[in-house]
Amino acid sequence: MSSAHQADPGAAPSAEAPDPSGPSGPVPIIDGLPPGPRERLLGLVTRRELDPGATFMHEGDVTKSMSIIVRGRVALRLRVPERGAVTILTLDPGDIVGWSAIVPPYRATTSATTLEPTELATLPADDLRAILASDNEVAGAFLPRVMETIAARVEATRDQLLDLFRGAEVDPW
Amino acid sequence: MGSGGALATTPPRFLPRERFDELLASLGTGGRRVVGPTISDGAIVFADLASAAALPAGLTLETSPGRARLERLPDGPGRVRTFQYTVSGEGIKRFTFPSRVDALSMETADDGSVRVRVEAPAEPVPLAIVGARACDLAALAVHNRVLLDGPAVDPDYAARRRDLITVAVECALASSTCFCASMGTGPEVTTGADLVLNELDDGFVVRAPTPAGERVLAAIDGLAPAAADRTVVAAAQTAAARAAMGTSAVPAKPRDLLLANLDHPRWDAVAERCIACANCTLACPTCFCTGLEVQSGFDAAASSATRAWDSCFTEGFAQIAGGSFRPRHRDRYRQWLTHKFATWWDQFGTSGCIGCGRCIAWCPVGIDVREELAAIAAAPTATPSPIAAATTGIVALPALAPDPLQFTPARVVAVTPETADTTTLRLATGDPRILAGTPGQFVMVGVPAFAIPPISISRFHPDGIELTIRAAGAATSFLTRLRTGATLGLRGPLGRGWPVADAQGRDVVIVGGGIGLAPLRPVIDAVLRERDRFEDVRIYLGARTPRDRLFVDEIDALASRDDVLVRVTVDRAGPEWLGRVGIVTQLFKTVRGTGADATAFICGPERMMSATADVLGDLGVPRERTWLTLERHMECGVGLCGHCQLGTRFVCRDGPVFSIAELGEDLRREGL
Repeated sequence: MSSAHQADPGAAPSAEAPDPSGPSGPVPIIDGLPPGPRERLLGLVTRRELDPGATFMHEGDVTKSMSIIVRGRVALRLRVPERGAVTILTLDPGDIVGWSAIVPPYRATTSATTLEPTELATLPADDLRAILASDNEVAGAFLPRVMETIAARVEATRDQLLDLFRGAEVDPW
Repeated sequence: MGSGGALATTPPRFLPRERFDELLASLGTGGRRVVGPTISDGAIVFADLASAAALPAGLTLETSPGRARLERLPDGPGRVRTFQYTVSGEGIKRFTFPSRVDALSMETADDGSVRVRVEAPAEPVPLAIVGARACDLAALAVHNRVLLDGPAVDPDYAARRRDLITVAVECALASSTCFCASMGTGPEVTTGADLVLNELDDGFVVRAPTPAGERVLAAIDGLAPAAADRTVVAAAQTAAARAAMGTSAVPAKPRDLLLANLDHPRWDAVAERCIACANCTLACPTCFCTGLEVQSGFDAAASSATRAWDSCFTEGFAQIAGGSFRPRHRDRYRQWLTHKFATWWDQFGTSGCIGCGRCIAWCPVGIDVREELAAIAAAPTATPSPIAAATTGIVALPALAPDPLQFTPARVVAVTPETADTTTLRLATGDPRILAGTPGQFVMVGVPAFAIPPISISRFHPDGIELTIRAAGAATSFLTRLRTGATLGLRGPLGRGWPVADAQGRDVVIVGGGIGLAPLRPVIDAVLRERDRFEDVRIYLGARTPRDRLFVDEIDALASRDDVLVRVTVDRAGPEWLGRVGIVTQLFKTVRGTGADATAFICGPERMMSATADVLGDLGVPRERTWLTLERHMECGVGLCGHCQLGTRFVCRDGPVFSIAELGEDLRREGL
């Protein structure tokens, strides 16, 4: 297994999502919301630093929080009998982990494990659901961003389902 | 000789009916083979013509959609006529473009070396064809354009056309299936004939538009000039045939109409009747698509390949590794009709239909192209006006290497397994044509007993090339098992490659999926060789699983450079993979700084390339500088075999690299 792809050496920082600038640094997605909803959501945020290999969400468990990746990389994994854990998607800074925190039945559809030193901006599920239910301004600003995430996952899953890179079964050559 | 040109004005002569054999004798001088219409199996068939007695005297051919029957001519003085029908069941195509010709042989010598030899066309016996109609000669002119006028020349056709004398007969009547007058190809014979006959009851008015025709007539003693009353009758007969057909059987500007209506519901309607039997393409005098059929002995040491007529109606015609591009009858009928009436203009500057109507008569379910065109014209789903003028292909084609059909030997000097099913062969060759190839070009690879696949060149060396081959079928599986020292035949380089030089001074974005990295590797090589001529260089790669990544060490080395950004993702992985998982577009959808100044090079499955082009477009990369390489069924690589058509293009000849702007909607159109 190659190690060179893990840390992406050679990455041009200017070409990537913003780097974290410390514990109170920017939070992707939320920073882009209008001032009111932004401040009220930031008031719910707690920041977590995780080492590589930390599984902070377990498939099937009640989702206790939604997180936005500030730094690092997270693998979403499914446990498949006889195949073990299969990584179906990795997430990068700016991606949401744990959308199931606000979608019934509030159970995680995958496990989430850090692949690198990772910083998360975390919103507790109870608090988040409460503010989305009571604050239309926050809901109107934030929910479309969550739906973008879910839509992108659905789209990506469809493409993966097509298995485009698989070899052909029928071939003239 | 034979190609006619403008008709000269030597005075018409009269050939009495009883002297017709003298014409045949004159044509047969010097051993020339003479063929003409005869009766066989209840049809009019061109065959060797020993005497006028073999002509279809007293018969005519009644045709209508799905029907062609020989009938007796009515009693009367005209019953002696021998050309009183319109088109024969089959045209003259099989004499100039036979259904099967020897194409090449491949053999393994005792020392193990492989030799691929293109068969030089047998020097054909000089030929005279008697009884060709205006439509037949128009079809011959179309074939001249396709097979002789370049950029590639069909050597067999060239040989057969070299010494051909054509004796045309101007039609004195029209069948219900005839529409040459609408296509501008008849019934008057205006080009391509060495002699033109108009049949009267007592003989023939004969014109000799060419010196070759004049020589034939000169050898017949004592032919008198045709009297004016005869020439008047002759002209009146032809005029009557024209009047019977009318000149509006086909809508105006069928090209623009069809290209604007590629999604018309009529295609579904006709597909319910079409049984994809390919009769229309076999009967059509201009259809020129061919395939290579390889015959081999059990030991596979030697094989030969035959070039045989193929048809776009067959299941395998548009087959590639991932499946068929035209799986439905609708797709195939649309391909055929739009090629004949529309995209032929783009490719060859002429119509592909000459109005003979054979496809109508010989269609077992009676589909009538005139009716299909009229149905679309009557209720177009899109305005036919804004289609760009037909300018592709013939105007700005890349120059082909000399002898693009010739193979050159190459020896395997290194074998590198890349994945479980993919291997890179390093080949040594001294052929300067191959070494002068450019990134994105491909070669045809020949080994005995297998089909000849097109393979992209995955690296250029001063003394050879590399080919990275995925074992997908029998031929490619064999190639991936070759060992050092093995030899094979290469033909190429072919196609239009990536415009790497045009990307100088700009950001470069390279996106590869699966085996699609192979044709991009020479781009990466070229960019890195002159790294300072390019701005930011970003490479995004997708693979099915971590084990399916190509060139892993090379890509790792690239990723460690500080002047190249490399991102890799896989579709699925186990927990041991710490890299990215997801589709390739996720690698750059949020990347800033990629935009109007970038040139993008994309290769992978077509759906991946399409999605990639969308995301890059959203990021501001111009469509004119978003390049991708298409995969289509290719057998000749030079635009002669017809398999790789995509709309107005031949992918092998005009591509395989195209910009998104060039492809337009065709990239996403299903079944094209």
